[in-house]
Amino acid sequence: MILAARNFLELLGYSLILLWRSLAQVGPMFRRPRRLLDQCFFMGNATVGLVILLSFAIGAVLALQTGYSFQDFGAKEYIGSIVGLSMVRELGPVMTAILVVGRIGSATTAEIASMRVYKEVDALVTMNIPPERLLVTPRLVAILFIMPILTLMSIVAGWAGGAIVAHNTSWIDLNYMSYYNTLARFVTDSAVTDGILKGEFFGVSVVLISCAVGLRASGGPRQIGESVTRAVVLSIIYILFTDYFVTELLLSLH
Amino acid sequence: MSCPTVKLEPVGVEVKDLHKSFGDKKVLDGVSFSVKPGEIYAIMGPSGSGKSVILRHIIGLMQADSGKVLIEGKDASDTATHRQYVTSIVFQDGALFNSMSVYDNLALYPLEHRICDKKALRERIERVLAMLSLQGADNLMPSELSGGMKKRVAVARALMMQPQLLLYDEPTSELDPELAASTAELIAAVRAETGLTSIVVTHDRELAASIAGRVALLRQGRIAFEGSPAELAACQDTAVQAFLHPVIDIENPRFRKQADKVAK
Repeated sequence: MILAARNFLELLGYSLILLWRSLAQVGPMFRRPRRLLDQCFFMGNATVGLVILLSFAIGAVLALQTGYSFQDFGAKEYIGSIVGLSMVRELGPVMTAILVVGRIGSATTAEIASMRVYKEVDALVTMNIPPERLLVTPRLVAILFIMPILTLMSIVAGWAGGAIVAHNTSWIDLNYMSYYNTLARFVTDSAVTDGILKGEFFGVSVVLISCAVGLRASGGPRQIGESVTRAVVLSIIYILFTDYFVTELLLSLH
Repeated sequence: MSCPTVKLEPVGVEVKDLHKSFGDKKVLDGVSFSVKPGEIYAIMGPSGSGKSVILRHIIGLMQADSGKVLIEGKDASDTATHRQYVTSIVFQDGALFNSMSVYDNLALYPLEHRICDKKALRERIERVLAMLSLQGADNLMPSELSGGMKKRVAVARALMMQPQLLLYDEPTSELDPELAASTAELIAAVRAETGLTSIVVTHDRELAASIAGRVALLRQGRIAFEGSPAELAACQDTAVQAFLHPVIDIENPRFRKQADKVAK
């Protein structure tokens, strides 16, 4: 337990150092923008379909559950506000971040750990090229651009899923206009901004943790697999644990 | 911006009382030697004797427990030394960037350090590939290369840096005798053309005897012998002879002797 806590704190410290070093490489990275574009394409391409599909399903289930709970109170008009706010403030950013862990974080750790194990990272160091410039900075900048788009897509897909279920389920039978009206009344601009900021925070954290775990890999092929598992588990724990504090911080700013 | 061919002066290397342990295992136990500018210096020794560890100290990838490595009198563990003097290493397995083509592997250093424009860079890469008999390999990925080609591409990538000091880690391992001879010729030719200092870690007696100016034999973390290849061949020390001319004894194999020793 103590060893696990020490390893976690070491990784946290290393991640912060890595973030600092990566920020120093933002300027040089823009000399070769192709790397950034490749990362943006990979991140978007890998996750967009999955984000839309799963968020749609989550919105649909949420509408169903809310409709079932509210039918006794005659409050089914509020399904729109419940689904709207839940998707914006919580489920959109958190689900997107968890999908980013699975699709982007794991691939990032696998690639970097493999480069580390097969001495490609050492080769970069001996060429006086900071590994962060090629391996970390483009990914961090790419996720900054991609994460708000993914989060917004997740939110809208969730809303759409909720709306379709609320309208087409016979015992709910809520028309689209009523759903939209309550949603629009409760979902404020600041709620959307909070959701996007939360998504940004999780996205950057996931990429940073994945890169840090990859760069600390050593040994042979088995350690590459172990690194991927470690990065995924740590990222999910990190998201779920920090979610509370980030939410509280964002709410306290209003 | 063109692609200037810069001929920098070769550098000298001094290793002073180097100690390194991994956990309880002492790998280097006071290794000292010096390499003159422009020399080819071979380090031989049994597997696991710490030869590659010495190279990692020289190139600045590893910190010594105690002792020093100096390049032209400057501390090799300091990254500033490797910015002042161009040093490079050919890793044992090449360590080519697997997601990049051969061309991109070779172009990375000049582009990142903004040494060449793209047109001049292509000319230089073609020249280096031709020098290593790798014409037409520029668009291949590392996974499409044979073992021998990988080694040569790794040398080509190192040469693109125009180094003053070039380290080779087991350059002939896993190569057939003809390719090994060709690699030995290549190391000698590179040194003749550029004048750079070369340190070669190898098991290959033929390579060390044919191209090295001096040879060191590493045994149990220490330098057991240092001298010219001729002096090495004439050395009567039993440990040196056992390494250079091991006798294959089918009746009384080594692993049994060791097992008996452990049992006692």
